[in-house]
Amino acid sequence: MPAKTKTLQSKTTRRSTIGVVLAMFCGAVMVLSAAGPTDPGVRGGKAGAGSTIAGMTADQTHQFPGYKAVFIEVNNQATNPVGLGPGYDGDGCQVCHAQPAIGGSSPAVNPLFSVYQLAGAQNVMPSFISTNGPVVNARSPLMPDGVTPDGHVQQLFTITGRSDSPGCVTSQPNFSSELAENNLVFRQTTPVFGLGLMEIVQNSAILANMAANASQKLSLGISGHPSLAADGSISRFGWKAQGRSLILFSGEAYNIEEGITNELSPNEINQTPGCDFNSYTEDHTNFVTKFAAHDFDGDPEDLANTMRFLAPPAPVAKFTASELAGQTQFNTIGCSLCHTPSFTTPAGSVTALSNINFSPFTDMIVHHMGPCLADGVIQGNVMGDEFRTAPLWGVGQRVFFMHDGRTTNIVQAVQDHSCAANATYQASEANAVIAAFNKLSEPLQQDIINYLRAL
Amino acid sequence: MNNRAAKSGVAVASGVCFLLLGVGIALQAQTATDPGLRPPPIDAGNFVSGLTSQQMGMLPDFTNAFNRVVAVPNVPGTPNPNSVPPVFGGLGPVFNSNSCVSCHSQPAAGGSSPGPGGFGSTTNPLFSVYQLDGAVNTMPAFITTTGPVLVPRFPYMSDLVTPDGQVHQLFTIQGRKDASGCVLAQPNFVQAASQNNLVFRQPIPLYGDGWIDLVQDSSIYANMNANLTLKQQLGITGHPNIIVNDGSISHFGWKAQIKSLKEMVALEQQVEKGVSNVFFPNEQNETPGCVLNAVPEDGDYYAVGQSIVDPTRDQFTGDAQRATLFVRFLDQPTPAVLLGTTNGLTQFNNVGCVLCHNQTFVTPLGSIMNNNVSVNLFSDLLVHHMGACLADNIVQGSAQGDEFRTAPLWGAGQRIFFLHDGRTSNIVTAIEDHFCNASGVYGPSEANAVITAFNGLTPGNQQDLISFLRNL
Repeated sequence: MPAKTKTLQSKTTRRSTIGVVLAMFCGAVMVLSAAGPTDPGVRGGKAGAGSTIAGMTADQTHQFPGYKAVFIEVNNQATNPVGLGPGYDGDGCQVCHAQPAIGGSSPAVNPLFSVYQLAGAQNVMPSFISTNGPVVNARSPLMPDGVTPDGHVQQLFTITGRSDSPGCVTSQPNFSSELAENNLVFRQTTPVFGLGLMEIVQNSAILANMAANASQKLSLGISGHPSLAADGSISRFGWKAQGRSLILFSGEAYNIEEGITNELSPNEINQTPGCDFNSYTEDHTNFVTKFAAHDFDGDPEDLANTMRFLAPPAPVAKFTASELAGQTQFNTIGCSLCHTPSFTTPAGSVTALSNINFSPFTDMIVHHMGPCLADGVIQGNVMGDEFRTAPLWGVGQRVFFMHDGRTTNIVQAVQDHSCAANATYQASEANAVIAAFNKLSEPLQQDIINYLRAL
Repeated sequence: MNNRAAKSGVAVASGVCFLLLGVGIALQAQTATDPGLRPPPIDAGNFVSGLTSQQMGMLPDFTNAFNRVVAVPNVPGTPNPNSVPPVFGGLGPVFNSNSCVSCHSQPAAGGSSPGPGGFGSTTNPLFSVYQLDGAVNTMPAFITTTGPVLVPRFPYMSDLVTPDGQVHQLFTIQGRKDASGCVLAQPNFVQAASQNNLVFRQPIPLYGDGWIDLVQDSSIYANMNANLTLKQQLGITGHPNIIVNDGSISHFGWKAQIKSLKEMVALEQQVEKGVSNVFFPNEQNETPGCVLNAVPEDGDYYAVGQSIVDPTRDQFTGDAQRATLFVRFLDQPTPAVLLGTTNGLTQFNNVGCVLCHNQTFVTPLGSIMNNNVSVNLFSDLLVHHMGACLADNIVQGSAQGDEFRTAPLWGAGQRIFFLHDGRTSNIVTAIEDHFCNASGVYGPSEANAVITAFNGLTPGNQQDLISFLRNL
């Protein structure tokens, strides 16, 4: 498709920085034509998410507040709940998973500004975090030698200076240097609503969907493949589908984002001497026999159950004529070939999740998205330009789009799926579909945008 | 070489020439002899000290989860009321065995593969599993009554090019009276063997894994960076197997491919028994007619008191977590003599074995475990190139096809089978098998200089070293 020119929507410093990086990646700048469709913005009204899923047992309903309390709690370094840091991005799950309700995505006003110097911490806010920008965590695709693959999360902040961490001296990563080396990439918060359903979708269902419409996919340049977990099953959570299950995801995120070691992630990421105040693992099984789940198990189990029972985001109660027309176009031009409109869970041992048809708008596999989106991070069998098809449920009430939250404009997000090949990466698998989108009449394009914002 | 070693030739499918090479070297250099299993008392299977009364009270429940024999039908969280003792479900559709303890039993529950001369069952436990309850499995040729329990993997997909590396379970539930309607063939191991696309791994003893779980990455790196000049002279490098997402060091498994004890137990519950759980929620084989239970089969129970099935069991967590806690509290094996008192240890250190088989790490402060415990595991928890003779051509994380984690040697004195595929029962051969010249595909084994130094020892010193290992 002909190169367009891009105008980044934000005036913020962070996005400008990203813009520089993007320009380097893409080598071409695209602009939305003045006469294109427009993003109506975050859908107002009632939050379409945050409630619990229907069909829970009395026991589960009774226990859910206990699970959610762990999701909501603010963690400290030394006092209960213990374990923050030495490195961290936030001090509670709900800090970043907030939009449009607890469990969601990055809020419009960046919460990290109320975290980074809390309790006397001496952190400097990295240049890529801005007050109106998304919460992102940072990774360096390569080690300092510029060759060896890295890709792990470099936590934004440290506990140095906090009143509960006397004597700990550890510095934040040198982000400006990494930026100067073009060796810093970002991922924003993914919403966790409805994940209990995605978790138990059968591998065979994902593979059957992958194999469906094969000739159409072939003609459009769409392939895709699963990200494989340790047991050979299909891993399905996270921007690169690197997480197999809610419990494994919880254990890892708890340590990466808050620095809380636990039985699934027993080691501090930052092991600077003098900063290891606590016994390991900081979070652990409690061996309490009181009849409440969160008294026995450690926190990852409770976090997993929080996510397991949060209902999928609900779209608008009734689609408008434009939104219905948009739904048709969404399917016709091929968006739905990757953003699969529905899956059905198998018989589930949790009745509320059993045999449920739901609409995640993802095929739960990864696709090549070209050099414009590539982050150069390899995870398992997922390459540097591959990403999981982002679930679109609830997209109507999301503020930031794409893995690094590079835009708040959903029209721009659609266009950002298109990218030509370069020497390193093949062209985006979405190119033909985006070209089809661009060939639609402007009203039909607007219908698709309206449909997405109704989800 | 004793007769157990001779019978260990079951591992030939990965390459007859490899085995011959290893044996050839062993015969050439072998002047020391393996005294064989150290006689009882049993050196492992005790729980760690310092447990709270609450934890002590739960140990029987945790132990049951490790020992439990699973059948197919499953009601999550509840034993089959018609069975005494209670039978839990979730077996299959594909599996290697029906309980943890069946394969982790030497010299006690939590250990390694049973076998001839062992302290419990002396025959391969898979023979009492494979046709249980009417299952129609045939026993693959590489599983023998006197050989080790082995888990088969195919390095490559059927095109023999695309990497696979997954476990292809030995057995299926077809024919079992509790799995009517399931039609599911076993993998074609004969074909895989003929294509040289079949490799094996044996059970790793689990004693002390609760301590390994807590070893700090900084300790592993400090040890990696110690004695660098000497290591360089001997051709020893090694590196951690790194988890990409958080950059931490993965500690468990033959290739150090599994990060935490908890994930390992959950993974094995799924891979070995076919019991889906909250960590790995779907069945590994979803052939229609064979997925007979709701998933995950082993999950949280959610009961708040009014629906208690068995008041002696904690009601909220699944068997994966319970079995993890059993393993977490299994203490490290106890050597027969105090470490550091024998000439064998001196030789072990002098020839350089210790450069990879690092004797001790110290744990940090523990929240549910004791503080600052010396963990005498004899491993650096790094992976090393071992050359084509041991290579299994499987890439896992940053561990390449010829790389393996330095196997912890604690408890080696009461192990029956050695090396990742259990290819020998003779610990002298196991040492010699560390030697391998470069091939077209892989470089030489990092152990070559050390093994050469071992072979240069006087017969007396060699024998002392072997005796030291058998005292562990």
